[in-house]
Amino acid sequence: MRMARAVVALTTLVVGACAPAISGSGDSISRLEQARTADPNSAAVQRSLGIAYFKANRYPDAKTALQKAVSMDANDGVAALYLGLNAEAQNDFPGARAAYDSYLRVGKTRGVKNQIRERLVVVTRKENEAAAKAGVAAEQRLGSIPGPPTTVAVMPFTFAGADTNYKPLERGFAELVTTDLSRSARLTVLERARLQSLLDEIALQRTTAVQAGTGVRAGKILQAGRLVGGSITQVGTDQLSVSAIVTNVQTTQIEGAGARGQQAMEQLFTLEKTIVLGLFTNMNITLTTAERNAIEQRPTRSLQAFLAYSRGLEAMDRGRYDDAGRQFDNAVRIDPSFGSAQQKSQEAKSGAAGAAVGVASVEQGLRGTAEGAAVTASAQGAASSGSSGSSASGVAEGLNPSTAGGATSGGVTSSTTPASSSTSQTAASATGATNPTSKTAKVTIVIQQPRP
Amino acid sequence: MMLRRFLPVVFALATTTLAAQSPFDIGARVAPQFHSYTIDAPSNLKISEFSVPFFVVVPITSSFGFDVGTSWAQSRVEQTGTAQKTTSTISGLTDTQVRANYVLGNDFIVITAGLNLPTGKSTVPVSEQVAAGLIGNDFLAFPISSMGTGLGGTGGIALARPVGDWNLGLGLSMRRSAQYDPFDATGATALHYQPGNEYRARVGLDRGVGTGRFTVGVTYSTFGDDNLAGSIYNTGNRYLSQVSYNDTYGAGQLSISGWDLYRTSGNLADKTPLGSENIANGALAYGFINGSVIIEPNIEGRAWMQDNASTSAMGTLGLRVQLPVGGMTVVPSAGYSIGKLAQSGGGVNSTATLTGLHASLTIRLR
Repeated sequence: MRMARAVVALTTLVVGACAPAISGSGDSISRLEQARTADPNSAAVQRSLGIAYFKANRYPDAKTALQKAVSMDANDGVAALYLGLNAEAQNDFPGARAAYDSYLRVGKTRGVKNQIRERLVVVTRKENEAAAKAGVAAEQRLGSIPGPPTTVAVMPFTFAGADTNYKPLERGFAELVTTDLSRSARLTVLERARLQSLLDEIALQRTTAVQAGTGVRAGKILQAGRLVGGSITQVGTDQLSVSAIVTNVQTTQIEGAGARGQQAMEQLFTLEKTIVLGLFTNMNITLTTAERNAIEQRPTRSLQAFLAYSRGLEAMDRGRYDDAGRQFDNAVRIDPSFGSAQQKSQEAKSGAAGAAVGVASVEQGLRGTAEGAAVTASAQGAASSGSSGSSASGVAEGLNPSTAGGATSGGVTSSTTPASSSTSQTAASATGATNPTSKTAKVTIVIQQPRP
Repeated sequence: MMLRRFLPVVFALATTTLAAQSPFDIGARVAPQFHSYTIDAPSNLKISEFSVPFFVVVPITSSFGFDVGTSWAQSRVEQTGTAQKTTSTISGLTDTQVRANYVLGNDFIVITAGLNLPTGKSTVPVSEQVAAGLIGNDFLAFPISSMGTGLGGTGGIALARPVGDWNLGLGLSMRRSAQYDPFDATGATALHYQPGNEYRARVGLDRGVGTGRFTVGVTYSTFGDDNLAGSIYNTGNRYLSQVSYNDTYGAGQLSISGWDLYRTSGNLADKTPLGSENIANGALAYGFINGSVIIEPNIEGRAWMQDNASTSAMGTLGLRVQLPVGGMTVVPSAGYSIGKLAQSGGGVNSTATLTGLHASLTIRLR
């Protein structure tokens, strides 16, 4: 045992002497770059270096290193997570989404996965905004490429009337139409939120834009073949009149005769079904029975609940997640069976929480976890294998080792390292036959006399 | 000597199974190798082993994977007496070990289970007994230490938690082996051998240091009584302490490792006490990096202390080269050992000169 103590003490002493102080990110990066030169195929080194670059705001370098780490080990959740954070820092929201999705698949820290799910709501919004900007920037090129006629964009409806409480129906009604048009397998209907981001970007003005051709501009950017737009007019105190048209984006010609109807306000949903069926007729689309039945479904029968829901959509479009959440909750309170409102409420809450998610909160969530150990190691300029829980796996190896695994490890001293004998006791060891210092093994058989 | 049966993998295997991703990420390693030791008078022994261990890692999911390992091995012992030379040789496939690891939660719990399939020779005729036995010596540490030990199974659980900058790991396991007949008793009464159950506890600590890691661990192992044809043996409990450190240093990579194996006193069937023993080992290696090739000279020292015997010691100088070839990594290595080995007999403690050679060629896919 004295020898053992000496070995441990000596090694500890050498470790202390060899381990330089970790003084900062520059030092960490330098050390990790050196480690990468030594072992360019180490995913752990690439991950640590990527994290270190990210923390030093060297985003392009971080992206390269983290992408390499992920390509080397697709199960490296920490690398995927930081690839997402880095992509956000570079305003690459599609990249951030892809990386976060990857983390949700392979990441290990439940709390951080919840944070990322929430963050994705915000990323989606930012992605739409960035796509709108990019679309406007590439408008000339995109405008020359006709979108397929089966791709439809539904513009917000315009509201005209004395009671502005119904104005939120502009978005709510468009959402209903979008949902019902998408029931047909023959159409691809663009997400309302995506269209809204584009409209916000180019500051289009509702149906006047459609009729004046500026809506067509949005349709071309979104590569839609058809554009649906319309108006809602309050008639008297208790009636609503709705009209809608389908515009061919390429020709700017109106398809069909349009769809219109007028009903009592409480019959809004019946009115919406009338409009949608008219639009299908305008587009010469025959619905199957199943599609027709699906369209007949109503998300709620409460106009008040739907108005609250529509106000929630408006708040969501403006990024006011807290306000949106309250409106959706209000809708659910009025009609507890309003499934879409429940879903949107959750989305709004996630968005509100996701807006507060940042590097600091993510790293706080990682603290005390195996994935957090990898991040800490990076700050120290080390390449921890934190994503694999090195201690647990190492301990498991020690508990249940493999002889062949040890013999093929190719370690520095593989020939003389204590072998990975997971074999259980042998008669040779029990009888001393493994000892070359003794000439003979000693097999002792004790024969006991039976007791009388 | 009797420590062989419990020695776990040290550090080299820390990532074997848990880097697993999918069945397409299968990894394989084969490492033909030759080890030989010559012990001068009064033993006049030459013990050699040629083995071809083969190891395959099969990841199923990111949480679950298994591996399979087996070897073909030939061991040979030559003893030169005053008038004649006697040899004992054993060869063939060894037992096959199948292990599975399942990771729970945030990678902090690993459930491990293994089977020792009796594909090797567990029943050995008299002419092969010496060769089969001496490869199990822990001081000489042949990579394949047993040709076969019958059917066995093990299960365990390991847990880890970060503590500050450290990872702390704890583990427990139990091994149970089936009865087998170690001696080929043709024409005589078979001697059945039932190994006692083995229980292990392990605690480990590791942390990143610089660009490398520092790891320390201790394993305690206790055994039930072994039963050989109704006679009870106990070979004593064991403590294995391990420490390793690696980091970039200068233009290359420095690796320092050490282990110590201490066995408490046991007893033979007639209650003859088996003295305690201790084996301590330290190794130092420095890898010079030239592009993707690493050339790594290494030095190692080992000492074996037994009750009522002189201390045995051995030093080894070696060279290892790591080079990528296609999609594989090829690691040839060679070494030369010199030392002294305790000799007992006649009530006089003495030592015999020991020399050794080893060479291996490890080929890793992935």
